[in-house]
Amino acid sequence: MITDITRRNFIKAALAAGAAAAAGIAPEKAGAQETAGAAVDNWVKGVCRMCGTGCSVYVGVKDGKMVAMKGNVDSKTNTKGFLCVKGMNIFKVAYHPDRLTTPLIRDAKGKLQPATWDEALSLIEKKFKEYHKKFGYDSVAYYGSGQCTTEESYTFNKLWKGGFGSNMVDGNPRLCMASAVGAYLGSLGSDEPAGAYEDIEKAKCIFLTGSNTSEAHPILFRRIARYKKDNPGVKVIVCEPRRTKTANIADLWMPFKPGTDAAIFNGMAREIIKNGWHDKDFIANHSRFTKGDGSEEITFEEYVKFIDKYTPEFVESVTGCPAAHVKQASEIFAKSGASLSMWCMGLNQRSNGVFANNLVHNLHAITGMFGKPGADSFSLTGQPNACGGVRETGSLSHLLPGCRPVAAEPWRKKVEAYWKVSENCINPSKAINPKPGMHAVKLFSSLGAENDETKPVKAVVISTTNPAQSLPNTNRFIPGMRDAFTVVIDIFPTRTAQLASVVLPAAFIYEKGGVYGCSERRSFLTTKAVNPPGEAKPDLWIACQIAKRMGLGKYIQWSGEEDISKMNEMAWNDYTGCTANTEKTLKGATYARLKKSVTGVQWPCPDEKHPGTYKRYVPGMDPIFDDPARYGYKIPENVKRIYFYGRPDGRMNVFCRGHENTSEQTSKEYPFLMTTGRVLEQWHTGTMTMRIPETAQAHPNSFVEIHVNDAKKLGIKQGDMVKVESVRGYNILPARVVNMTLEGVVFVPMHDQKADRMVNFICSDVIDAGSSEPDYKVSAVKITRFSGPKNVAERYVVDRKELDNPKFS
Amino acid sequence: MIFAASVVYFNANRAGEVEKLIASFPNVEIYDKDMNKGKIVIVTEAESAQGIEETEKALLESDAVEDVAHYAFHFGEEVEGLLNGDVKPDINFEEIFKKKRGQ
Ligand code: SF4
Repeated sequence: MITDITRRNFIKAALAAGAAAAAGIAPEKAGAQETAGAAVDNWVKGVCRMCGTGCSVYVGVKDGKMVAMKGNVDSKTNTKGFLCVKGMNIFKVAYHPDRLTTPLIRDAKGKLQPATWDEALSLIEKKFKEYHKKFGYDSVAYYGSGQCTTEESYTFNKLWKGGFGSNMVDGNPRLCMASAVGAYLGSLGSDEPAGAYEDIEKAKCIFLTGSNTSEAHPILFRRIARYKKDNPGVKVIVCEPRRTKTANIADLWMPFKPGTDAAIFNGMAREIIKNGWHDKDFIANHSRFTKGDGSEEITFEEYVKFIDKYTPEFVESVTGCPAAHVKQASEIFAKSGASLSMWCMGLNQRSNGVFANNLVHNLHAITGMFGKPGADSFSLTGQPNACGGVRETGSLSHLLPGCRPVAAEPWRKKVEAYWKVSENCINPSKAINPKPGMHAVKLFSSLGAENDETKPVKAVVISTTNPAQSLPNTNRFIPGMRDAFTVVIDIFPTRTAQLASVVLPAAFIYEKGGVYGCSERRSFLTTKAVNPPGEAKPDLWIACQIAKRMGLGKYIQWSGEEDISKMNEMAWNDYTGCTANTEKTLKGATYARLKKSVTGVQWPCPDEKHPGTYKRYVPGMDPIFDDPARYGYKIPENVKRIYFYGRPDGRMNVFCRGHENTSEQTSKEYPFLMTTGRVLEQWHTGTMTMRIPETAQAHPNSFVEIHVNDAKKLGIKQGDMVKVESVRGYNILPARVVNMTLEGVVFVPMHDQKADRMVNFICSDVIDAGSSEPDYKVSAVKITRFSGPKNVAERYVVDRKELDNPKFS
Repeated sequence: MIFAASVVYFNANRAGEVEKLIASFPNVEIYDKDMNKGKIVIVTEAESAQGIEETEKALLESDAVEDVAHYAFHFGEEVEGLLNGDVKPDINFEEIFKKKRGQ
C-alpha cells in the first residue's frame, strides 16, 4: 500500500528530478528519475495561458484532472523551463466554482436564465438572420481576442469575411498591438519582428522603452536580468516615466513626461548622426528617408535637417529627460555593436503610437542595428496569442489572413478563391467586401438597439475578452452593448457578460487545445489535457455551430466534426494552406510536427524540412529569398546584408515624425497626467487573476500612485482615499505615495472590476489616426483628497448573481 | 498542500552559508546541488502558493542568493479540495453581493 508520506515523497522526488535536469545538474538521489512518472498519469504539452511571453509548459494530469504544472526545459521562450507565479496558479482558474457551465439567455425581466445549447444557438441564428435581412450583413459583428487560439480566430474571421461577406471583425489586439502592426508595415513593409528572443543573449545593449517588462513579461525579464548579471558589460537602458522594477537592472534610466518620448527618439537620432556614430553603409544601401506618409522620398541631408532641432537640451525641455541621459543613451545604443530595442504598450497605446514605433525603427535603420545577432527592433506582445491568432490570421477589420490589407485586390482575390467565397458566401455580393469594417472603438460606438437608427450595428459576438471594462471612456460604450443583441463567450461572469443577451460558457485552453503564437513568431500547440466542466464548449465548436445554422456548414468544413482535436487540426490545415504563399507561412508546421515539437515553429517555415526562421530579411537565413516569386516578392540577385522584401525597393523607411503631442493635454482644471498599466500579479481585467486568492491578495484593489511632493501639496497621506477625475469619469482610490514616478504623473492599474475603481471610466478615448488604437497611457486628470484611509481590499469580482444586475456596482 | 521544485542560484563562494540558510527552512528540502556552479535544487512544501512565494522572498533576502527560479508545481491535493468543495477560494461572494445591494 502506498502511504501518504510515500506518495508525497514520490511527487517531490519527481518534481526535483525535473528541476535538476532543467538546471543541468545530475540528480543525486537514487531513483529520482524513475519516480518521475509517479506524480501524474501523464504530462501534456502546452503554453501558459497568461502573458505574451509564451512560456512553454507541461500540464500534469491524474485521474482526468490537472494536478501539476512544470516548465518545458527544451523551450526557446522560457529557457530552462522556468515559470512565474501567474503561470503556476492557472489551475485555480480552471477549477474555480465561478466557472460558467451552462448557456444563459436573458429573459424579459432582465434575468439571465439557464438554457440548452440548442435554445441559445437557435436564438442567435434567428437574430442574425433577421438582422442580416433587415439591416444588412454589416449589422452583425464579431469581436475576438488575443487569447483565442489561432484556429478559433481564423474560423470566425473566415465565417464573417468570406461566409457573411462582412468585414465587421475586430478584436482586443486593436487595443494593444495595432500601432505596432501599423509601424512594422510602414517602416519594414511586413508585420512582426525580424528577430527573436534569442537576440537577448546576443545583444550588447538592450533598450527597454514603454515596457515595464519586470511586471508585464516576468520570465522574459528574468532572462534579460540573468544575462545582464552574467555579462555586466552589456548595457541596459530603460526609458519610461516611472522608475519601476524594470529600471532596477538598468545602467541608465531615461524618465520622461508621458506622451513626449518621440522627442527623445529624434534627439537620439540627431546625437548619433552628429557624432558620426551612424552606419553609413546601412543608410546608403538599406534605408529610404521619407516625409509625410512615406510616399515622398527625401535625402539623408533633409532628414538630418528635420531632426536638427532635437538637441539634447531641447529634448530635455520637452520631455523632462536630462540632456546628459539622451547623449549617453545615444552613444551606448550606437556603439554597442548589437542593440536590441524592446517595447510594449507604452509605445502602442498612444495617440501617436504608430509614429512612436516608427521612430524606434528609425534608430535601428540609422545605426544598422538590424539583421545581425543581438540587433533588432522588437515589439513585445501583451497577450498569449495576439500575434499568431489575430495579426497572422488577419482577424482585424482591415486585414485578411497573412496580415495583408483587405483593400489590396490581388490578395483579396486569392483568399476569395482559396475559401471558394463565390460558391459559399450567403451575402448576394458573393465576395469579400473590399472596404475595411469598423475598428473596435468605432464598432462599439456604432452598436445599439434594433430601433435606434443612429446605431448601424445591432448584434455582436464577443469572445474571450471584456470590452465593458477594457474600452477607454467605458461609459460611452456600455449602453450600446446593453441595448444590442450581445453574445458573450467566456469562462467567467464579467462586466461584459453583465450586459449580454446571451452568455455562452467556454472551455479553458487546457480543456480544448489549439495553437498560440507569441511575440517571436513562434507557434506552439497545446494539446487538450482534460474535459471542460458542465456544458462548457470550445469557441471553435461554437463558431462551427453558428456556421452550420447560418447555412455555412460546408464552407467551414470542420463543422462536421465533433472531436475538438480533429476540428483544431482541420482549421489549422486550412489556415496554413491559406497563408502558404505569404511570408507568414507555417506550411511546414504541420499538426503532426507541432504535436511532436517541444519548441514550436517560427515562421516563415515553408516546408516540413525547414527548421523555422530566427532572422527575417537576411539572405541565407530567411527562406523567402529561396523563392521570392512564390510569395509575390521581387528580390534582386546577390543581396548581401539585408533586404526588406515587403518594401518595393527593399529599403526600410526612415520617417520624419515630429514630437507633436496629440494626447490629451493637462489644463488648469486637470493638471495631472494619468498613465495606466499592469501589476505583476494581475492580468488584464482580473477575471482570472482576481479569482486566484494569492494573486488577488497581492493586489486586491486598484490604487493611485502619486509622487510624494504632489501628495504633500494636496494634503494626501499614504492610504488616503483620493478622487481621480477626468472629463469623462472618476475613480475613488487609495493613494500610494511614492518617489518612483515623476511629479505631475500618476499611475493607476487596470485590473479592478469594482465600478468606482474601473480606471477605463477615466481613460482618454482619443485614438491613433493610423492604427485606431486608443491612448490609454495619457489622460489629463485632477486629483483631490476624498477621505482618510478606507479598507477597499475586498477583492471584488463580478459574480453570477451580478449578471442580473443592470447597473455596475 | 502545494509542492514547488525550484533552483536556487547563488554566489558559489558562499555555498556553505547558502546551504545552511536553506536548511533552516523547515518546509524546504534540498534534493540536488552543484556547489561549484552555485545551484541547489529545492522542493518547498506549503499550504498555498503564497507560502511558496514567502519562502522565495525570504531566501532572496540573503545577498548570497542570486535567484530562485521555479520549475514545477504539484497542486493535486488542492484541486481535489476545490472539486469536492472542501477548499473554498477565500473570497466571500455573498458578503460582497449584499454590500452592493446596499449601495
Ligand atoms: S511569464 Fe507570462 S507566459 Fe511565462 S509563466 Fe509567467 S505569466 Fe505565464
